[in-house]
Amino acid sequence: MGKSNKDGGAAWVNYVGLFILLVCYAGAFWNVISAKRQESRADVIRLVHWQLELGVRDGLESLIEQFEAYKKEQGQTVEVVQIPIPERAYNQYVTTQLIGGTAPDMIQTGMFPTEYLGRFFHPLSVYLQQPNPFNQARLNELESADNLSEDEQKLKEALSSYADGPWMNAFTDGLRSQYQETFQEYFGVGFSTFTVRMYYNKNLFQKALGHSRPPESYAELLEFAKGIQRYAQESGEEVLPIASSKYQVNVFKHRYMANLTGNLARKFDLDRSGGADGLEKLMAMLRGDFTPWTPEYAAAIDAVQQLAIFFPKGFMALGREDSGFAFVQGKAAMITSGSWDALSYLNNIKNQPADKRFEVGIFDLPVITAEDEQFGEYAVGRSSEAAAGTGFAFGITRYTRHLDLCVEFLQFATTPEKNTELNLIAGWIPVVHGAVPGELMKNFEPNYVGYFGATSFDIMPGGKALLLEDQIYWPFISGDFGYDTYAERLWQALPAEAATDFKRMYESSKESIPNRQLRRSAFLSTMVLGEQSQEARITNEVNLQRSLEPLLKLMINQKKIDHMLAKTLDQTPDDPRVQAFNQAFFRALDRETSN
Amino acid sequence: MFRFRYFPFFFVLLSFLWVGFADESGPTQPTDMLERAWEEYRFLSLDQAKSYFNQVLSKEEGTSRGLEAKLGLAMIRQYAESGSDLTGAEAMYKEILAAGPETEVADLVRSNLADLHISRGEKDAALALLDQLIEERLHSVIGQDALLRKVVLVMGEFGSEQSVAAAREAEEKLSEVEVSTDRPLLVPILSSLLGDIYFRADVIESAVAHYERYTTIGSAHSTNYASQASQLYRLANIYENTLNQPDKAGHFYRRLATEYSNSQMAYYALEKAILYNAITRDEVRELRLGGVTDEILDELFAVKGERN
Amino acid sequence: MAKDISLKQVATYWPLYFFVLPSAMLVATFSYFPAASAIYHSVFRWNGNYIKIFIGTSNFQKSLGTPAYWVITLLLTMTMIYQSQKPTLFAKVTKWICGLGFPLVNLVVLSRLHPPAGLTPAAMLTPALIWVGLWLFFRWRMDVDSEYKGILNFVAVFLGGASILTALGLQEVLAWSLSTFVAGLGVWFLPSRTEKVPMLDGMRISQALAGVGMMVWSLAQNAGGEVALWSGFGVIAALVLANLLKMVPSIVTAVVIHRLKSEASNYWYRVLFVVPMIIPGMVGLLIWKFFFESKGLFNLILRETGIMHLLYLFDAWTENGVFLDKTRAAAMSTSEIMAAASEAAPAWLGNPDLVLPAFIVWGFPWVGVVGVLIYLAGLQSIDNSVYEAADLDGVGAVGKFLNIELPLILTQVRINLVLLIIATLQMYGQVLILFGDGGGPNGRMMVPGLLMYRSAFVEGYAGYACSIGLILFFLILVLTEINNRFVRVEK
Repeated sequence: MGKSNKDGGAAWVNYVGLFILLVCYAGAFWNVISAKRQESRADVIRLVHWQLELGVRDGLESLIEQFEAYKKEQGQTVEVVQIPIPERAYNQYVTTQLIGGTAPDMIQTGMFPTEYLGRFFHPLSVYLQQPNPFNQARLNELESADNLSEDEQKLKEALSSYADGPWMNAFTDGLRSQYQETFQEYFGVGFSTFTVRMYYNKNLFQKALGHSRPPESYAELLEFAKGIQRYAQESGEEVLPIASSKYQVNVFKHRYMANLTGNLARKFDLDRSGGADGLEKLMAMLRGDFTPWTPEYAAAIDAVQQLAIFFPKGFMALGREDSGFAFVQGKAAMITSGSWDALSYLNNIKNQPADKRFEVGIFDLPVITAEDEQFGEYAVGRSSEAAAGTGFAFGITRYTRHLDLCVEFLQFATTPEKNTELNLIAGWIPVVHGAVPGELMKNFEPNYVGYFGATSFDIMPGGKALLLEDQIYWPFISGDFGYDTYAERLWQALPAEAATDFKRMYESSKESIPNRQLRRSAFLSTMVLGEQSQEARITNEVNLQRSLEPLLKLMINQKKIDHMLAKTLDQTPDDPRVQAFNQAFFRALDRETSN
Repeated sequence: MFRFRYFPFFFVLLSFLWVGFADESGPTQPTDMLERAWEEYRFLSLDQAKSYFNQVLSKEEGTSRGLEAKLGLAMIRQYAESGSDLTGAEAMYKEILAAGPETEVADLVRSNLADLHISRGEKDAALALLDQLIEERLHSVIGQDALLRKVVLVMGEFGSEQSVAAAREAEEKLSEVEVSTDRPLLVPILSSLLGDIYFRADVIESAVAHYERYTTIGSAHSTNYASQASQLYRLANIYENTLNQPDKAGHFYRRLATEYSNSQMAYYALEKAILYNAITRDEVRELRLGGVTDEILDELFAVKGERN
Repeated sequence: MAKDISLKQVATYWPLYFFVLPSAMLVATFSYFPAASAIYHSVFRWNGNYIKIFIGTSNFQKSLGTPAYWVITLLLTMTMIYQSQKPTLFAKVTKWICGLGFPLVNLVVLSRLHPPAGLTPAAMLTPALIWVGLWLFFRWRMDVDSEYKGILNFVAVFLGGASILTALGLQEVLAWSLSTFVAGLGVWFLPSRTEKVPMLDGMRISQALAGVGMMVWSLAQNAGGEVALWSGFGVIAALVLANLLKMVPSIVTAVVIHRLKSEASNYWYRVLFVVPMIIPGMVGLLIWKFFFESKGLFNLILRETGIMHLLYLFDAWTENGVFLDKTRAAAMSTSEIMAAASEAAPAWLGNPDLVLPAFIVWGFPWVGVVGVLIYLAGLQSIDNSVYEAADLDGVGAVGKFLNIELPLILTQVRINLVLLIIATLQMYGQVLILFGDGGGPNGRMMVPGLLMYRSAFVEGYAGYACSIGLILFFLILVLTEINNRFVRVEK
């Protein structure tokens, strides 16, 4: 360093770094200045989401353009900027932005802890309980118009049923799925919904089975799969009956669990709330009513296993993309996947060489009915898809300076016509009453016919028992050992994991109390000290009720747990296996609580 | 050389200052400092709330607004999730009470003090405060909130005689309160709690009465979809399986199917309602449940015929 | 080297510190602060957010079991390491006490947590008799002056003793640690009178490390800690051992490149080795995943080379039931097994018994780019005159490697060793990407890092995750210290 200084000629080299630094700073400066300028020119709303698919971005962009044009007509310059963030980094991005206080105006909800919703997002029920002005205006327009087309007539009919009522009634699920029970609040407005179906290769069906109709029952699904397997063996063509991966196995498992264990869940439901929660399931295990040998559960597991022999080898180690790839290449006759994949599957098939292209059919996963020879006696019926709910939802952060504008944007976006358009471009299912799904999406419309409830050995979401069940299920479904071994291993290891979950459940209800107390104190004081106009009072009252209900639930939870445990322990189970389970459970619990 | 050496440093400093001053981002806020403080409190940013409360207190000490700010500060001390300071909060509450014992602020102070005593395990002191609130303010939320907490405090374990006794006492108090569906205050929550107590103690008739009350007055402003729907299911289920009153069961299944037609339980409830003759075919058609076709309805009504 | 400067100089040049400030701040914010935060939060029930309750050592008790045993073991280990190379009488006595302490603690742990199992059938004595027999055979065959005699004695006493003790019905771990202790007595004391036994130091160190390892293993199994954590450490131990072997190809490659006569080809080989670095790790991961698929290249190679047949035969013979169903394999003839092997297509990443071997094979031929470059740097500093001297002495190619190159790049080997152990212990990203947070088939690959990740981000027990992190940190610290002390570099 010292040497080159003396050389003189090389001295300017020393300033290269400084120069680069200056350039960078100038760039950063310019960035900040231009952002500021933009903001002074127009009201800027930023919305962040993780939907990087081309269709979705285009759909949003067109929505944004229309909204900007609409606002311009009203004499306001508004600029809406969408910021797509990759799924992988989404949680971190949102977390840092929210905690740092620099969050954008609207954020797609999900992928981050629900706790943030209560802390950083505006509660939306105030708006959702008012009518959506865009719908009202459109209805008035339609009512005053004379000769309506058939579509417009339908739209008018749909709008008239909710346009003057609360905005939330416009959604097919009444926006229930955006309701956060812990906060008793709505924090998001959704644009789309998603369901799961099976896709099949019609050409391959024709070649292998001589027809191209979808299977109508579970038995037929097995039969068709067998037929394709036979065809593959005889012709030597490398085709699989069902393309599958760990992801798809879980879809099947989930479906057939609901299909066969729904009544079991209602049987364990001690408080008659309509489903068995973790605690009720645990009590059923301790009583001996619920073991891996319970026929309904065993049947559901068996139903998936019978399908698993038609999956590719080593499917549990494959990814969702692998199985989708196999299907679009024509190497598999069937695959199960969600509506979100429909567009990309079709595009991929279109891009195949001409001789590899094929026609795709779509059908719902066949239900096990009472007529089924194997499992008919446990069949509950298909499960309702009402829980599909509304996804792709945006919440408004408390850092926005344009709260009203954000609400307006959401209202603008959830009129039937705009919702239709967005989902048509995105290739998704619309969620507003009166919105029309695209031709492809008609196959995916949620079916509300069906039942509810299912049970398995998970005790709390993300808990240890769930993990254990998943871990042992892997080698079992891969065919490494039979059901007896699966059941034995699960039952053997379950008590310790159940004890951990149980303790954590107990703990977490205690731990959450201070937070809920804090919320309650906030709303109680607002209620007592706040504005006393009729409207404000009702809002405050409702807020207080909302903060109180979850707190009450937590406060009595411990008493409830003690009561249920005492009641369960009244009867000693006869089955030695259940006795062993109980012993191991309480030993593990002792150890957990002594820590 | 001197100039160059210092230049980057000043440059960095300057740019930070510039950006810092230029950045005005942040939430839209009410102009009134006290309101701002409460808003921050509701969003649980307690540090921010604390500084606003302190500003109000320093400017308007001695006024009613000053007292309110003091209350806010005491509440932050009491309810802060980490590092709460009960003793400090108690002292501040005492000061507020001494300054104005008959104000709304004082009611809140009593209510919070009861919480404070409960968390310290001083049950009697808490009960005294709660009883006072119940006596004086039963017709407003703060009194009903006190009643709710009293029940939880004295009920003991679920299923015990003590719990039933506590419920009976609360029931008596509650009967003095006029309730309308427009302004249910906290009565629905109380009803739900009392219903739970009776249900777990196997006093089914009383439980059902309270659950029913919850479903009739609770829905006016509540958005609590899950608990509303599951309460209807619970009632229907109890009438169906425990009390063997199919008419009543049908009634509640019908309500579940019609009022929550977009819930997962809707179809199940619909089937049951048809089974118990609680709903006609035309009414079902009006519900326009996605996927319910005429063939399905034919089948449902035919099954009912068979079973009858 | 750093130079002290006077205050006067500071007065003139103080703005220079601002140039250090950004990096100092970055390091403090992103390295030291999180580390301090982890230590702090490990004694809390913390959900990473708003729940924060002080719970003392509960997190550690959940992961480790009874802490007292660990503290004692830790003290014994540290004393042992500290005293290991001192010749004084005090050091010897201390070591002796420490050695005795291990089995003693084990005995207490086991007797408290597991009542004695009682005598096992006589068949258990067979392995013991075999070991003792082997030992007698070697003694008989052995030249009295053989330099390997000491090691053989050690191994025989160690293994034979342990087998006999196990056969007598002692808990396995206890038997092994008692045996280690007895074998240790021999190694530490008896030969010390005659300093003729070569490799005595190495034997002592391995005996001590075996003792410590045994002890930790025993506590992990029996002190009542988190089972998944310790089975994870088992997986890590296997991977570390495999990775030690996987270092060899890199060293060999570096030496081969170094010995290239032509400067130009030397350069181009180096470039060729660096080029793959620009490929994202993710791509490599996907390629290997593809490779291990049921219909993938790996199975094809195994079948074509006949390795698959050997594996099948071995599996059938040992009745492990990895490839063939146990009951079915027993009834199969050899030709049937061979036929089955020639059509075999096991899913390596989907089978709980095969996933660990797959992870070991992963990255074949195991030539690490960074490793090669580090070794090359070391090799290039060897002076040409050393080679010339070796040539004069008529040292061959292998001799040059063993006597010149290997000793002279031991510094680099040691660095790589430390880095490798650290990287292996912290490894979990690969598993997470491949299998999600469940740890793969039967949770076999639930490594400690993954458990930590899961606890914090899936289960919301960030305080517990911090405690696992600290255990990992501590283990790395101890291993690095052992490495620095015992992997000697003598120039």
